Amino acid sequence: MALMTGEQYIESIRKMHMQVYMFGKKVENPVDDPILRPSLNSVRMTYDLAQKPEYQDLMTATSNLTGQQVNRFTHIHQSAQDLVKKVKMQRLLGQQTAACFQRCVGMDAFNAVYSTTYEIDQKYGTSYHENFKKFAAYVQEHDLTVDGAMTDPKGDRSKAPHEQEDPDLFLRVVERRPDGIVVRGAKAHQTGALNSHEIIIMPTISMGPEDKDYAVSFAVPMDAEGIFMIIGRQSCDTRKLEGSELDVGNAEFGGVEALVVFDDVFVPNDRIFMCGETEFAGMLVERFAGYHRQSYGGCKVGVGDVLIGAAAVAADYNGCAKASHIKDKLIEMTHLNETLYCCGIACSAEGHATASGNYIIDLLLANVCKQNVTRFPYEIARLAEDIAGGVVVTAPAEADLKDPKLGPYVEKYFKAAPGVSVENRFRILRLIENLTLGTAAVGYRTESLHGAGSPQAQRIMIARQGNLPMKKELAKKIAHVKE
Amino acid sequence: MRIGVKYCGGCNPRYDRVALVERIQREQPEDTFERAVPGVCYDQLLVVCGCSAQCADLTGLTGREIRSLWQDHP
Repeated sequence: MALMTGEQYIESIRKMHMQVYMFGKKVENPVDDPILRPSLNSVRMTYDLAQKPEYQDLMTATSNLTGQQVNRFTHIHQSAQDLVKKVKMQRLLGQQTAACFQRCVGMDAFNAVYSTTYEIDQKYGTSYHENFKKFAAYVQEHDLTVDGAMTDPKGDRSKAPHEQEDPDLFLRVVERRPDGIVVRGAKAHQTGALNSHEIIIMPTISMGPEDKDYAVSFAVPMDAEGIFMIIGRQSCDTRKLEGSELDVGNAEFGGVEALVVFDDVFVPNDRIFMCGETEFAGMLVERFAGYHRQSYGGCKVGVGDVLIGAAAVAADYNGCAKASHIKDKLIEMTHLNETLYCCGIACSAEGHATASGNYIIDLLLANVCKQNVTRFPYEIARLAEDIAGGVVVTAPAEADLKDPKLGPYVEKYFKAAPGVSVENRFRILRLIENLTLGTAAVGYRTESLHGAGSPQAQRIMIARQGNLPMKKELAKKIAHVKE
Repeated sequence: MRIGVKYCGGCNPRYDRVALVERIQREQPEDTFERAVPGVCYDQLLVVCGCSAQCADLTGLTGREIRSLWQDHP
């Protein structure tokens, strides 16, 4: 089975026995939980679109491992064109869900681990690359969703993993057995872990020789013994329990994050991709981060398309679409959004082959891309709120609109442009609220800031890659400086 | 005429590509339309792209005639 349908994906997740906790209680049926289900629907879209001829050119690729048609989210990039198509696919998914569709981290982990394991094996004669290729082919053949997990809790940020007061604050090997290893620790902010079949673990920072137990990469099923998840809260999350489709803004789609705890989890030898090769931890981190910073030049742009559209509809409904300053704000939003897309496409088009043969983005441009993503969505969101008006945070509930006594007053006093129903006006306003300060703001705002690395992480990479000495020489030459 | 239809991936289409193909199908009821697959030489390969980038991957696809569309009013 090369490509699962959306329904097959949902049922495959239902069959898993994941340990999920939320609000202090175990969630017995995460698939049908009203708070969690929208996030599953977002991942489902990555399967549904792959079934449609009008999207397959982006949604699928030909595997270098099996020769079969596979979902691009499981693909090992074989060209710069593959990298470009990845960004286009992410924009498409953002447009279709207005949410985080969660499957990118696995794709980015796939490509980072693929090339890094090759280079570890070249140096040490290990068999990590073969282990990973076997795992990747299994994922492709079964069209699985994989969580790429990098971020450790990190404890005291001034200390290395081995210096922490609590040794489990970075995920580590606690036991080595003939048939595998036992690991303990946690991965934080794990987008989509809940909706994944497998999880790939990677180290979170560069490491020295003393951090040998922490330089570990592997994959295990999400329902492996010893793994459990604690779901992160989102702004307005319990609004989904109130039964109002209108009030949640985006009733069908969403994202989800969790703290994933590894409480002494066994990893068999053939699922290990790094174990103690500390000097390669930084390489893996840099490559995964680079791919993921590229990703944001696609997914956030797609969500931005929806927000720009929502702001334009709000202007229509408010009766102010012809005002010059409204038009100018929509132009500014579009300019910012397309600038992000330019960065995503540019770092892809300038990609190159690694020693293993797969393709990696231009790291400088990918970091510039993500640096812009830490800023522009905030401005796009601010402009959307500006255009929508204060009513985006003061509109009454759907229950008031439908109430026999209050409804006529809500209809009377929230009426705006002729021919526009108050209900439709509220629907668009709630979507803007959802994206700018509701559940989807987790993905569109704060994840834009901190996801794939906080702003300073990109600035460090930009400093490293910026080629300042060459620029100085250019200036000296033009100015006829003689030293 | 046997027509093989190949879409681009649709990341940011400027028009409704599927609606355009449906319209062409209505206008050419005598022709058969199918999803283009490698290994078949169609009478016409209809390539439907959403914008001027026209990035549809045509690897392995063949047609005696290739008709490329990237806007709603060809």
